[in-house]
Amino acid sequence: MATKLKQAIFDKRMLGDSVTKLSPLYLAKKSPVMFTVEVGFFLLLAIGLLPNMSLEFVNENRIFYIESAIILIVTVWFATFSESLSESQARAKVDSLRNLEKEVLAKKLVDGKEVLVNSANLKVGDRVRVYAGEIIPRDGIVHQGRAFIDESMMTGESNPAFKEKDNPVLGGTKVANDSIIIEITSEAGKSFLDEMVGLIESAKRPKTKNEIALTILLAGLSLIFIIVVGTMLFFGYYLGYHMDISILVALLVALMPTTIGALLPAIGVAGINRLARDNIIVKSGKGVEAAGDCDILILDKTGTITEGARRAIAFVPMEKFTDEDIAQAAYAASFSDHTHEGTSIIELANEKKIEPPFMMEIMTGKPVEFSSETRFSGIEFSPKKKLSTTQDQTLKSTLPRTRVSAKVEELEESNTPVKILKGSVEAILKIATNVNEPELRWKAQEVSKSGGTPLAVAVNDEIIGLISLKDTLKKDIRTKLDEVHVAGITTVMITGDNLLTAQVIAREANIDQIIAEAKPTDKLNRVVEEQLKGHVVGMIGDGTNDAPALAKADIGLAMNRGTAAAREAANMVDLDSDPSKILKVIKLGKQLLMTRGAITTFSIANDVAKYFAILPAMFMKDNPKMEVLNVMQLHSPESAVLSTLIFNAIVIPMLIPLSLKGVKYKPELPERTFIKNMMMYGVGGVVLPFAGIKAIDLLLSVFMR
Amino acid sequence: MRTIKSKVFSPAIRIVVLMIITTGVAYPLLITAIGQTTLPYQSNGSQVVLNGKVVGSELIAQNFNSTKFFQPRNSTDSGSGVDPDITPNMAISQIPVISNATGIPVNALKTLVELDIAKNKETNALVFAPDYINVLNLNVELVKQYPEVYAQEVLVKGGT
Amino acid sequence: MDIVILLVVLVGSLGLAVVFGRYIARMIIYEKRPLEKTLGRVENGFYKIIGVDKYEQMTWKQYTLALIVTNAIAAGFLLAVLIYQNNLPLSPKPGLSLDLAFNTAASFVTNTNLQHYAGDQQLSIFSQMVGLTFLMFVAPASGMAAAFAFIRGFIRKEFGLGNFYVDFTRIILTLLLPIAFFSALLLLFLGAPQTLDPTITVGTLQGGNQTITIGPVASLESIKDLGSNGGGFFGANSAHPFENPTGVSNVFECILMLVIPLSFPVAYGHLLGKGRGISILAAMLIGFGVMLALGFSEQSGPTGLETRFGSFGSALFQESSIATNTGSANASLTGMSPNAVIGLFLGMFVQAIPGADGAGMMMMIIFVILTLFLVGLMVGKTPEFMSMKISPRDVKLAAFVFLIHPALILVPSVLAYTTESAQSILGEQTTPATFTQVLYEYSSAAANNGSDYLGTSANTPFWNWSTMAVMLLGRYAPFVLMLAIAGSFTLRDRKEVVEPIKTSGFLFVGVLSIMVFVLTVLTFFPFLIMGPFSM
Repeated sequence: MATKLKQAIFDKRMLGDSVTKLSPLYLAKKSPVMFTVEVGFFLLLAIGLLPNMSLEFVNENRIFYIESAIILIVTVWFATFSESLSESQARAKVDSLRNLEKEVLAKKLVDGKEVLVNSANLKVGDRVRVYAGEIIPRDGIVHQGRAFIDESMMTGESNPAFKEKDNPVLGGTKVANDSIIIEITSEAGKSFLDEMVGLIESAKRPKTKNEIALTILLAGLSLIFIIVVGTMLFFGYYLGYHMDISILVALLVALMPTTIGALLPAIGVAGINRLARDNIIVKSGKGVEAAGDCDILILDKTGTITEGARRAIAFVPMEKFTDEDIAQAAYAASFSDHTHEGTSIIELANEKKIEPPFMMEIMTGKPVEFSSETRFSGIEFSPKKKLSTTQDQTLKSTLPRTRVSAKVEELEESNTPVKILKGSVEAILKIATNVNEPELRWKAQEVSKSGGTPLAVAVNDEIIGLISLKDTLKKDIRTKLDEVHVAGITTVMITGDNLLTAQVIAREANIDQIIAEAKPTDKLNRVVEEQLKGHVVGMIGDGTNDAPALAKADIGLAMNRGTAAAREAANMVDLDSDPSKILKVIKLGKQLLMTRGAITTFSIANDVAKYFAILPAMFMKDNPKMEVLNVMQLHSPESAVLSTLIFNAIVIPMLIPLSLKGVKYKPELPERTFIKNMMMYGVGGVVLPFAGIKAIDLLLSVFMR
Repeated sequence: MRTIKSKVFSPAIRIVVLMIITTGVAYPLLITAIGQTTLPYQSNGSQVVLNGKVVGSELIAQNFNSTKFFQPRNSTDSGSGVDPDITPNMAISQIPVISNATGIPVNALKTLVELDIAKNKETNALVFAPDYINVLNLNVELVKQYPEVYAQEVLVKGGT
Repeated sequence: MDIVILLVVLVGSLGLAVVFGRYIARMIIYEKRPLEKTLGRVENGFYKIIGVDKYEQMTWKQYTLALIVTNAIAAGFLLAVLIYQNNLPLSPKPGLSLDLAFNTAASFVTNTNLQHYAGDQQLSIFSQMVGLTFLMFVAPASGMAAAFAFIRGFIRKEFGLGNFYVDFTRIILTLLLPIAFFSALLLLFLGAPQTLDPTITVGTLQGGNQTITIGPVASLESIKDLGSNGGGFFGANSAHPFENPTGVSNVFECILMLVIPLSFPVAYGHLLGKGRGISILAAMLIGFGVMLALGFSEQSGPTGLETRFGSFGSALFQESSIATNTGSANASLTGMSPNAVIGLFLGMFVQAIPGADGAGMMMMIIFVILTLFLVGLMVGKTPEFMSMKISPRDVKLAAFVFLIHPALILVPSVLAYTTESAQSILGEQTTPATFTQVLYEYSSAAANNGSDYLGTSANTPFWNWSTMAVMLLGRYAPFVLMLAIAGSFTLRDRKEVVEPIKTSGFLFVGVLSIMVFVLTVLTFFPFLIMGPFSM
């Protein structure tokens, strides 16, 4: 951090920028508070430089005016410096992000041949071939072929969707099996990094509503203090005080909320920058600010709350069979299934230390691949060839004989080919009829109730039992969601699963509300519905279906791997495509507002001490009664003015790290946060300047006289 | 323009006229009527009567230039300039002078002062005001108690 | 004894505020009131004559326009009465000069009642009764109507802010007039005179003649206190024994001044949540408590005080009067201790502890909005009030409300010195005491308070015109700004969700009180130091 800061300080562009921003025209437009300070600088400088000024209100040494003027212009420069610093940091981040923007290689068909091109270079009408396991590069329609497409990252629906000719497919989704040819139907998204650059360049940066409101409030306060100090000049004169213009300017600068006025632009840019550090691109400041207010968070189940990959968690045998039976059959059916689900079934069997006795047959058997027509997979082997008896004996002796192994042996002996298959209950029921169907259906429902998805396993025509597959919760999601709740945010989970399954997950992850068996339009409806009630809605999306809801939501975070339409619609894009990052956005939104509030409070609280530093300096010579106010016992009126101005100036760079990093946010009751911040920045803001000004005064008194 | 006239000015003028009649005329006149018939003493300024003659208002200070009477505050010392009352201390400090001038015993004067304080306490429901003496009431009481002492003072104005 | 007086005033005014607060809440949302049928019939008669449809709702602009036009016509009537009182019945006196008449008309229509004249000497009975007493109903009714509209802004959605003529009629006929009526009878009973004769002449005990000014005092006195008006029948105001005859009447007048300002937070509580109402009431009482503490901290008088009130009764009355922006006085300000005077300034600077009828409540809500703005930021929420977002425009308008007040006090004070107008009535040499008087005059005018040090000595064209401008701006500019805020809030979406920080309870009361105190003190600290502190 220290070296980074050093680099930043010696960044010539940034330094130059901070000096350019000293232009009164720029300040008048951007920061009325700092503009007023600069006017004070010009005034005092003129008095210091013009010869033989002898006016009623000019009694001090010329050096003193110049000293004061220098402190004032340094104060202004600290303000422009903090703004330029945060801008330069953000700029550097944008450059590094440009390299990160993810693109995939697509196999474009040129005269029937596959040519590798970057997905960014695809045009509408291009045709690309996508193989099983590959990502569809952009939105399009199926031109040729049929396939199951894993759209879980887009729709939350964990069952793959079946697509055939002329069906629309989404960019970012994954072909699960087979290969298809897709015709591209959408343009490449315009780079949102460019939009972010607009947010950090001061010239283009639009102020958010909250910044505008705060700027108005600060301007109002400044105007009040201008009136206060301006009229004091007259009253002091008529009351016979020897008023000096420099003391009045010092009082004005000290009273005006210069600290927050100086740091306000830096705080906003720093927020955007901090999100960029987490690889989130912000397209409008509004979204970040609204994030602090988010009180309803609509989350997709798959990918956000759960891993999005189902694992086997239990075997459920039919009444006729045992745990071993179903485990052995499932093992066999999954042996050549190298998907995540398949491996998890083998792992579960291993965990239970169950292995089929007919391993040899399995190893030599022929895999039955999953296909869109059959919708099951497994293994098939022909009757056992005569193997060496010893080997056979060993296997038989070490493993217990089960009904399944007996059945397999039986089949082999009758020279019937053995097929061990697994698939959805419906799919398996089509091929295996030897089962007590009510029992099967009842058990399947039990699996659903516990949050799992049932897969049936059959050996030839007989169904052995079920495998319960379950999507597992993401690591830490429970803790993260608990924090969200403490912050007063209601969570809504949206999923294609049935209500039973959804309820189980919701309970496990501590989700407040669910929308089960969701249709694509449900998200938008829910967003609109909640907004009508006045809620501030945050959501994540990546599919074209999500685009309207993303656009409507107050905080729309699009996944970078999502479709262009989604990224266009959202006000933020996460380059890492990690949906749980929305929680970070919310936290940052809160921090952003808290930082503004804290520094504003600090700024106003400082005024108390400043009055006690300057008023005695102003009045004590002529009015002994003012002695009571002289609690700070400063060295001289001159040193009182200088040390107040110096304190006022150095507070700005001292608070730059806080502005860039943000006030600490901890999920807790807002009342507690408020009291903590009030103690720290309100009470601290009253106390600190007493000590600070006194310390500077002690230092100055060594040099003065 | 026409709509503003008929929608704003016309009701505004009418409501003002109605309220002048209600609050500026009817209300004070009704209070006056009730006051004059049921509370004539207060309504007409709490006039103090001695021997059938009005000698002032209980609530308004009047000047006494004779040392035989208790003196009210200087008119400019009070908030109203017509403060009819003095504090017990002020009354007691005047007792020796009055006793000298009239020959009324100090104790008798003290008793009268205390009686007046007690009477005022009653007026103020015991707790709502500090102890004070109504100068006119006290002086009227003096005249009533010692008519012979004040014969000259009261006789002088007897004719009017 | 003092503590009994204080308790009776506080318990009495709060107890009545609970009753009237509930009633006011019913008036704001047109709920059934006691005797609704009878009241409705009388009101309908009025609406018929006025020519308004009682169901017609006004936008904030229409409401403000109706208020200002009605006020202007009423002020115009008073102006004419004052100028031409020599031609009018009931003990005619010479008409007032143009500048004094304008000042007085502006003063009474704005609920200020700054008096640059001595009522008992310069005004006819007709002027006092038909002119002033009438305006003493108009001004508080307008302030309360504005507050009704303002509060409706936060509880209604897209339905207008009410009908000014209806509110105005109902407030006068069914609230102010009945209370004023019974209060007048009570004051009469306690010794306030009520006659159409201008004077009585008596032979004094020692044989001289004494002419005593008298008139319809009781009927004016009751609405003077009830309506945050403060303009006395006599120059000496409530120090005069006819306006405030005894310690009992003193306590009763204190209660009368406090009751309606304290009723508003109660009404607010009925409409927007009990806790919220109690919190606002608590914040008001804390501010008022500070004023009382300052008033009681030093012995006042005896010079300038009335014997029957003593130091405690005077301080209690003065602080109550200034806190409610009534501005009446039961003692000369010069008799009050410096601390008591600082307390009075505090009341005029804040204008909301509890402030004038209606206007005080509106001001306090502005404080609430600004407090919530900062509180929201501090907990990381974009600020909201009553579950509605606070927009930059609201902040702008609220900031203007705040800016107007010091500007109206300080800038004219400078003008008074640079034009030598201050020196010409207070002496060449400016002292902390005379500076305090100038500052007080404009603070009182800007806050529509009416209490003043200068009295008839300020009857010069400069003071008359300048305070007139300050009173008008100090009244109507904030009204326009505040009703504009309310108007935009009615169009805003409301939430059914929890507030980021509860706008009730100890924490909120504490924050609100600190905010009120800090904003006020930061603005006015140097002037309190240069003025009363250095006296």
